[in-house]
Amino acid sequence: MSITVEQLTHVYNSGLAYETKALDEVSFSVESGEFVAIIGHTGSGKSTLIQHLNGILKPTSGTIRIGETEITDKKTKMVDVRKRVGLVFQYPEYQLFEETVQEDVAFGPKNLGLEKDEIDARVRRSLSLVGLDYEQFAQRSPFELSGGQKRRVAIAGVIAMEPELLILDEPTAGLDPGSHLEVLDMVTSIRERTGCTVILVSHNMNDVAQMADRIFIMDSGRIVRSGPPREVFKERDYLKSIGLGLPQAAEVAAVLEEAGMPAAGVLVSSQELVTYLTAQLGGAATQGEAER
Amino acid sequence: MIRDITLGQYYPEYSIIHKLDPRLKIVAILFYIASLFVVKDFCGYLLVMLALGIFISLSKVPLRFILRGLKPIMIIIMFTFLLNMFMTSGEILWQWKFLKITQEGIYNAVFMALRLVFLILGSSMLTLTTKPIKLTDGIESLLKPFKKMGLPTHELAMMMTIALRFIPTLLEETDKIMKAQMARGADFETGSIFRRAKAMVPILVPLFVGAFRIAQDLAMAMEARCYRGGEGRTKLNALKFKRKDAVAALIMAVYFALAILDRVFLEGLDAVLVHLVIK
Ligand SMILES: Nc1ncnc2c1ncn2[C@@H]1O[C@H](COP(=O)(O)OP(=O)(O)OP(=O)(O)O)[C@@H](O)[C@H]1O
Ligand SMILES: [Mg+2]
Repeated sequence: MSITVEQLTHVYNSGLAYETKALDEVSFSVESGEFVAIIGHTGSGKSTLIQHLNGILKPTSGTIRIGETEITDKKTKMVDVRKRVGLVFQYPEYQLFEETVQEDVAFGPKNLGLEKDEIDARVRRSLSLVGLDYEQFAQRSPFELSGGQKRRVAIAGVIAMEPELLILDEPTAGLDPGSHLEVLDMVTSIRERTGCTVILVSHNMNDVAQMADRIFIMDSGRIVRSGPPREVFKERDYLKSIGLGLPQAAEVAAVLEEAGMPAAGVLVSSQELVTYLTAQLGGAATQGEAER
Repeated sequence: MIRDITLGQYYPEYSIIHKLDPRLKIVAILFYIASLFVVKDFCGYLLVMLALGIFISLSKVPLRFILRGLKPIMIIIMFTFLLNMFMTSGEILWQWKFLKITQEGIYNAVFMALRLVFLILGSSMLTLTTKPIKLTDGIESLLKPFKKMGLPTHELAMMMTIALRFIPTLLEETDKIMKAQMARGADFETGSIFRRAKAMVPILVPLFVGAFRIAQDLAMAMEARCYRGGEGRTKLNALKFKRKDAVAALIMAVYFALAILDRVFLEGLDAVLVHLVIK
C-alpha cells in the first residue's frame, strides 16, 4: 500500500514552555510493496513519525495519505486505518495482557469484528509466522515466556490483523544476537508471504543496509537523506556528524581505503567485504610473485 | 489526552513562588483551602480570586497549563452545578414538569462550582510550583512533632516522594500502552459504560505488571545504594526559613484575616445584591 506524507509537522506540548518540535515539515512517499528503513539518532523523531501513519498521533499540520485514504481527514474512520496499518511499538512485550498467548494474539482480530473461525485461523497463521509452535505456546500465559518469546507474541498480535502496511519500531532492541537474527528473518518471511509494505525503524546499520530497498535518515525532526543503502552510506563524514555510522563492512572498507587500499565502493554485507578482500589480497599475492 | 491531568505535576520555572520554603507553601495552601470554606459570599470570592491571581502570576506558570488541569474534573463540576441548580428550593424562576430553577438554586450552583474550581486551581498550584522532593521534605519536617509518638515520618515521606515521583512515569506508561492497544484496534471512546470499563482491562493489566516491575527495580537500586531508612540520615539541602518566607507568611495571614472579616461583616451582602439585580 502506498503512502504519501506531505509537510507533516508535530509539536509536543504545543504552547508550553517546554514544547518540542518533534517533526518539522516532513514529506516523503513509499511505494506499495517497498521495504523502507528509517534510521536516526535517539530523539530524532522516528517513533513520532511512524505513530502518525496509523492515526495514533494527530499531526499539528500536514497531510498523510495511505493508499487512497487521507487519514488526516476528520471523516476517516480510524478502525479502517488500523485494520490496514499494523504498528509494532518499541518494546511491544509490555502491551501483553491476556491470560493465554492465544487470547492475546486474538485481541486485534476480535476488535476487527471477525468470525471466530477466522480469528482462530489467523492466530495459528501469525504464531507460525513468528516462529512459535501453536500447540506448545497457545495455552501458556504470556507473562511466563522469555523476553524474546514475549516479543514474538506481541508481533504476532499485530500481524494477526493482516495489515497491508507493517511498521516495526526497533523490533530487535534488547535482544541477543540469535533472537536478533530470528526476528529479522521473521520480518523477511512475513513480507515474502504476505507481500505487505514494510517500514522498519532501526539503530542497526548492518540490518538496514542489507534488508531495505530505501533508507530514510532523520535528524532533528527532518528527513535529511533518502535513497538506496549504497547511496546514503556514501556520505561517511556527514553520517558521523549526525551521530550515525556506516555498516561494518563499509566502515572497514573505508578505513582500508584511507590506509591506501583501492576504493571498494559501499559494501553492505560481510560477504561483499570478503569478496573485496580476497580480490585485493589475491591481487597483492600475484603482484608479489611477479616482482620476484 | 491522558497528559491533561496536571494534579501532581511539577512545572519547572524560576519564580519567587518556586523558591519559597515548601513547609510554608503547604501550610499556606491549607489555609487557602480553609478560607474557601470561611467566605460565604461573592465578595469573599473576589478576595480569593485576587489572591489566586497574584499567586499564579507570580509563579509564572502559564494560565493555560493550569486551566488544563480542570478538564478531567469538568464532569464533577458540571454535576455539582446542575444538582445545586435544580435541587435548591426557593423563589421559582422557571419550571417544567418536576424540574424547577430557583433564584437560590442559580446562586448556589454558581457558588459551589466556583468553590470547586478555586479548590482545584489552588491545590494544583502547590505541586506545580514545588518539586516533589521538596514537597515531601516539607511534609516530613511538618510531621516531626509526631515522630516522638512513634510515627515513622521519614518512611511516610519517602513513600510519598516515590508515589509522587511515579505519577508522571505511570501516566507516560499508560499513554504508551493505550497507544499500543489502539494500534491493535482497541476502542476506548465509544460504547456503553460497561463496554468502556471492559476496554480498560487491556490497559490496566500491563500497567500493573509494569508498576511492579518498576517498583522492583527501584527497590533494588535503593538497596544497592545502601538505603536503610531515616535513622541518622542527614539532608543535602536542609530546609531554611528565609526572609521572603516570612513576608509570604505575613501576606497569607493578612489574607486569612480578610477572609474572616468578610465572613463576619459581609455575610448578608450577597442576598441584598442578588435582590437588587433581580428587581
Ligand atoms: N509524549 C511525548 N511528549 C513530549 N515530548 C515527546 C514525547 N514523545 C517524544 N517526545 C520528544 O520528541 C522528540 C522525538 O522523539 P521520538 O520518540 O520520536 O524519537 P526517536 O527517534 O523515536 O528516538 P529513539 O531512537 O530514542 O526511540 C524527542 O525530543 C522527544 O523528547
Ligand atoms: Mg523511538
